[in-house]
Amino acid sequence: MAVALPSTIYVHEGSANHHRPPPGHGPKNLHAPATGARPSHPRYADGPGLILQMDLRDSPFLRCWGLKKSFGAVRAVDGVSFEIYPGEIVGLLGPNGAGKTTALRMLAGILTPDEGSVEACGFDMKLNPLEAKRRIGFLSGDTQLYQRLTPREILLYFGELFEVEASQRQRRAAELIDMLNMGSFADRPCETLSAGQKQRANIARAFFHDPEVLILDEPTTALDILSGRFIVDAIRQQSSRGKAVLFSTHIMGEAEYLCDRIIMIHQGRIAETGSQAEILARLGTTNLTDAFLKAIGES
Amino acid sequence: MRLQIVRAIFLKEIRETLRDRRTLVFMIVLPLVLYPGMIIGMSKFQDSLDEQARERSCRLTIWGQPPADLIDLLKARNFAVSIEGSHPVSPDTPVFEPMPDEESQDADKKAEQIRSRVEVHPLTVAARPLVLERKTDLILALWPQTPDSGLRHAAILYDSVREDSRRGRSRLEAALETYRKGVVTGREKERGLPQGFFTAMDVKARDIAPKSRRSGFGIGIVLPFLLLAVSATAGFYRAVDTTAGEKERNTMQTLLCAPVRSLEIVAGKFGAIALITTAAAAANIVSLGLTFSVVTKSLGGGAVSLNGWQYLIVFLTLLPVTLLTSALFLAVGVFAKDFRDGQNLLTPVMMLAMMPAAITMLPGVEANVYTLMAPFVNVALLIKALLVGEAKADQVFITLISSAAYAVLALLFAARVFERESLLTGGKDTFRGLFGLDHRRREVTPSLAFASFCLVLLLIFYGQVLTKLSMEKLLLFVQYGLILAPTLLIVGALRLPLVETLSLRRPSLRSILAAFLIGLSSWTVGVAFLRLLPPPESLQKAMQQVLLLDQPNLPLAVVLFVVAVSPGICEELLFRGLIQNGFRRLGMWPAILAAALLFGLAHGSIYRLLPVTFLGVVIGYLAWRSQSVIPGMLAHAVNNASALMLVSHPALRQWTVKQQLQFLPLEWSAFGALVLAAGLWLARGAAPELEQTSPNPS
Repeated sequence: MAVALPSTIYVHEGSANHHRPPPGHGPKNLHAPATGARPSHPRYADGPGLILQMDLRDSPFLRCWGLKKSFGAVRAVDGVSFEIYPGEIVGLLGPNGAGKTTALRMLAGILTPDEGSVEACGFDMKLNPLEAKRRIGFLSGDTQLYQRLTPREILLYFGELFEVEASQRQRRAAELIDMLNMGSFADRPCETLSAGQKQRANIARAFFHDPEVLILDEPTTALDILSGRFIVDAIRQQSSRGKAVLFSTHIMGEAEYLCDRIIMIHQGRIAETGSQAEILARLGTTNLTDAFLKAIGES
Repeated sequence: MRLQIVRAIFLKEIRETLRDRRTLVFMIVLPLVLYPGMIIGMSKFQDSLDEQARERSCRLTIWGQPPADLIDLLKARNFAVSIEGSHPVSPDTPVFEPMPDEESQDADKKAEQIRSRVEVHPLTVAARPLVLERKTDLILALWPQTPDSGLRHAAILYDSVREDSRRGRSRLEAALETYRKGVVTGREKERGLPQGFFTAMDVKARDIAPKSRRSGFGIGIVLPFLLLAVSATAGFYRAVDTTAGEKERNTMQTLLCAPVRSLEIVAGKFGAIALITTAAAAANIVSLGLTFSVVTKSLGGGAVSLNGWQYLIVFLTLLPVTLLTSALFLAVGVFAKDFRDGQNLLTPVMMLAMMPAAITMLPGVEANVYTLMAPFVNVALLIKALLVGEAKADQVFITLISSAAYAVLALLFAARVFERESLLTGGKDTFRGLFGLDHRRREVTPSLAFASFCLVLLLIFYGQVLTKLSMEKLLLFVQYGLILAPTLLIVGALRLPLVETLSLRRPSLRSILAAFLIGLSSWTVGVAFLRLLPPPESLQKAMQQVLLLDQPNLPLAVVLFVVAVSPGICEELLFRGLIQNGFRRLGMWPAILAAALLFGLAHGSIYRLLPVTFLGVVIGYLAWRSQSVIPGMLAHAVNNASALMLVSHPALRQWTVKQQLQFLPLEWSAFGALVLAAGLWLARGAAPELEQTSPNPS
């Protein structure tokens, strides 16, 4: 992976566990203190406390184990566990109704799992939801924006909700508007924007508080090639800044192009996981589409 | 709850609202256009209709032989008279029976029988096609004059639904009255009798209500309903948009993945809806005030004269009810999947809210303790009372307190609903799940306790309206049917443990003794509070009725059962059982005080609030310490019985009249306080365990 990873992260005294638990056996002390494992980022560089140096790859930014969720008699997610490390882009592939969206919503803290836990940068989603959510940026293909507000107003609003410092909000909004090429429509009500423009504004919203983890649920759905490409590039850029990215998609080309690792999910369970090369070798196929079909038993 | 987050959500909601034309139209434009349009337009329209009707002659058909002077009189009064040659009136045609005197027994039943005979009367059958098909406005049927009688029968046959016909009837009646007077005067003169001999008494009724009161009454009939409806409509759209609309547009999930607590979301959204509804209420009142002032000026002389203070009080009265509708809309809106679903769900809620307010438009529905506790009805009635200048401090108090209580309840419900992720993310939820009864330990919660209180109040209101029972039966019905039965039903329906929820434990001996002392003495201390706010005579009379003092024939045992034993059992199970245990998790004193305050409020009078709340605190303490509801029942019954004895015993009564005592002497209260202190001291160590764990010599 051509990503320049920072070699260290700064961990404050009394931080959460840094070992990887075996799937299904999460750490018992999930209630991480307010200063949990944090990546090397200018925001945290001058924080108080004892600073330890450690290998970044030891500590996942996003971790879930034994996730289960049912809706009535339907079990949407049935024991899903995985971890995502800083700078890693992980693709979640699965047919419609496989449980991708439910899993991603649980990871983002919108749904509470029936069983299992989610941890973002050492903060347990159940015990410390505000801290965990603060480290996650969530975006889905069908998430809409407030129609009567402008993208800039929405960014500032979410900045407030994520408690980004007041002095930083305007600057950060301008920065993202510039970065995502939103200058021409940043001050127009969202109801007047095209699908691509809206999705760009939505990405800016998810990036605004500079989260360590990005969870993107089919972010390029319903977008044209140009807009889709723009978003894919934005994801790459975030990963190169050391962010952990989890995204679900239907588009195999996107997964092939972007992902360091792929998790194939079928009927609420993980059917296959590994790097693209590992999966192709294991399933004896030459491309991801065939591998996917084989993994879910359709070929 | 972080206030800056609540503020951010609130401001975002307001900003969206200000850009939403539909809400703005309902909020500001509608009231500004509605009132002038409705009031000025309607009154002008009515005036022109009246004028038209006055100018138009009334088409009158006469069956029978009218005297020539009557025809002249009718023509002079603008009746277009046509006399039918062939008609169904003959000497044998039965005369219409007079309607029974309203005061007489079975008046309604008799009137009904007469009406059914009118239906098949030959004149009715003959007149109907003519009048209903508008061939004539009304018919005057004249029976032939019999030679041996001075009386001539006549009947006016008209259609009460048709304005022309109705108006013709009153004009014809007036004309016939003038004619009749002429005949009577002629007969008196003929016989050389003094004037008025046959008339015997000339009665004139005059309306002495001041103009402001009359106009207040007129406005008071429609205004409360209108204000409630229009201000609620403004909140309605915002509420649907901010709940179901957000779900439909998937912006709710964006909000939920932000580090924000559900209570902060509720608070921010509720604040916005409440502000909009309040602004709409204010816009309504301002528009109304301006319209009335224009009408007053144009009519030249105060047809409607409300002053600024009255408008302000009307606005303040509307405040709690706007908060209530806001919270209710917010809570119910979350259940909807999308905007359309939201409208479908909220429309019945709005109808349910508006229907009671519409009831107050009916004549005879007046403000009293129970109507003032019913949500929406109370505010509508209070506004009505304010406009005719009849509102009393007590009524304002009850209305504001009960409305605020319902608003808090609705807000608690909204907060609970927002905690249910399945609802926020578009799924469904169960009733038990919603009240947190599916996972948690089954115990009564503060919200449930408060909801039970409100439910019982509502039942008492509607139960009393719907039943016509004698006072003692009504009291028993209220106690057992409307207090005890709902309490047991709530416990049963939610499968709450009976013993823990109602504290149905065997009491210690010590607690029984404490109960006696407390029951005997607490009222003597409680009534001392009456000195702070002396009750008016009307309340004293109402109390005499409730204590059955005006029914000396009832045996004492029955009176004691109705007034002392039954409240002891039923009210204690609700207030010290379900409600106080519901507040248990708040700690001893908050739980006792909250239950006592609700107990005081339930008695529905600002004058009785302090004495009854005091009794509630004392009995609440006894119930808490003894861990049983039974000593409280005993204390409550003894309290009521001893107070009753004092006011009903003839000798004691005579003595109080002789001494010109308005209040219980302070020495009595002081002595009572000592006995009470002893009772409370006993109650302190009255827990059953303490008795069991006392040192045992063996």
